[in-house]
Amino acid sequence: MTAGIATVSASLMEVAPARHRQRGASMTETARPATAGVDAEDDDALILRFAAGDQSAARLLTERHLGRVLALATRMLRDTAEAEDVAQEAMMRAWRNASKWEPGRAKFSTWLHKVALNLCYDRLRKRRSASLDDVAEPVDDRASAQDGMEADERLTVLKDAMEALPERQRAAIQLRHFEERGNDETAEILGVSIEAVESLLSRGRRALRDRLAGQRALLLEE
Amino acid sequence: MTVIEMKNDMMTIEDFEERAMAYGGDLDVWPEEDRAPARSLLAGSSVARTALDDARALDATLAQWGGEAVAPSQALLGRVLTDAATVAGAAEAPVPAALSPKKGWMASLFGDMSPMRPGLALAACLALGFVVGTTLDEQVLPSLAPEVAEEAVMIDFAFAIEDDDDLLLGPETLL
Repeated sequence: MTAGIATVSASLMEVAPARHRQRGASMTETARPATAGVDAEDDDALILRFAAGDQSAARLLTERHLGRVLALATRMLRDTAEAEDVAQEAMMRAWRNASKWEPGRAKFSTWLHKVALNLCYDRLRKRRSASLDDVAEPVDDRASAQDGMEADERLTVLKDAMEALPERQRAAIQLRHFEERGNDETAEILGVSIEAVESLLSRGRRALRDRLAGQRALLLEE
Repeated sequence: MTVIEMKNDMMTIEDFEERAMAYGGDLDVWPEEDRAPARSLLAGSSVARTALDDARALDATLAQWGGEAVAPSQALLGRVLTDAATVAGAAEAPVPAALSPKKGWMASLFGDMSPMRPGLALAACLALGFVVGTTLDEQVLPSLAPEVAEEAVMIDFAFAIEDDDDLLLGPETLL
């Protein structure tokens, strides 16, 4: 298993940097890499193969999706341990429900991100409850910054500003800006309309800009 | 160009600012139907150019975070693949002989009898139950207390919901 894990790890390091993705003229059509449709079909085939007992399918699905799910959870939660727990639990739900998967009913990666995002929401709500009881929030990278462990102060400023956004605005920005999801897929993951996604993006980015206004000099310095 | 086409081709500065905030400073990633009107407005509006510059500055800031690598640790990879193996192993685990469905539930109850004998035994039980149920007085078999009966109904209802869930195998039911 060690060799297999090493291979998966190497592949996951190749996750491309995020960029906005174009929304098509139909409002639901989004520009995607040419292989995206094929990938979706392959995901269906892989989850069915896993359900039939093919362990190699689990490795391929993990290689394809774990990095992105972990990145989403990490940016949402800003806590490495919690993000790993969320990513592991999301994948576990995929394994457990593999036998019930209906090919073509939904895109596997959309379903997986929706599961992960809901798990993140649960943890954020628990944090809020805990903070009401005066328990310190487990935000590890901010604490490490205060300890001098975080070298990039600009990144910390940005993360703090992002964390202050309402959950759905934050998630919309994560999915559009970092996860390269189109409006239609972002809408499906968030469980809202495409128009609502546009509104969340606009309000979220505007709030982010306003929060960062006082830090602009710091943020733009090289 | 018709009046309707002219109207569709126009974009207000408010719409422009809204799109710039939502989609950022690169017009090529805006919704396709908005690009031409946005370029027209941009050509003659300093306010639009400022809005686009603001959006680009925010894009640049976000890009600093976007470039941050998030790679799963070896430990996480190991846990995920172990989970998969565990789930697959549980699905493939052999059914214990005592629970094996091959003999059927009647055979489990009545043992290895000829095919007719379990059926006859069941028919006898049903007949006995009918006789007892229709002849005994209510005082001998008092009715269930209301709260017990209500609980029984709720349990039936819960099982009915579970049965329905099993039939709805869409992605929403798997969350």
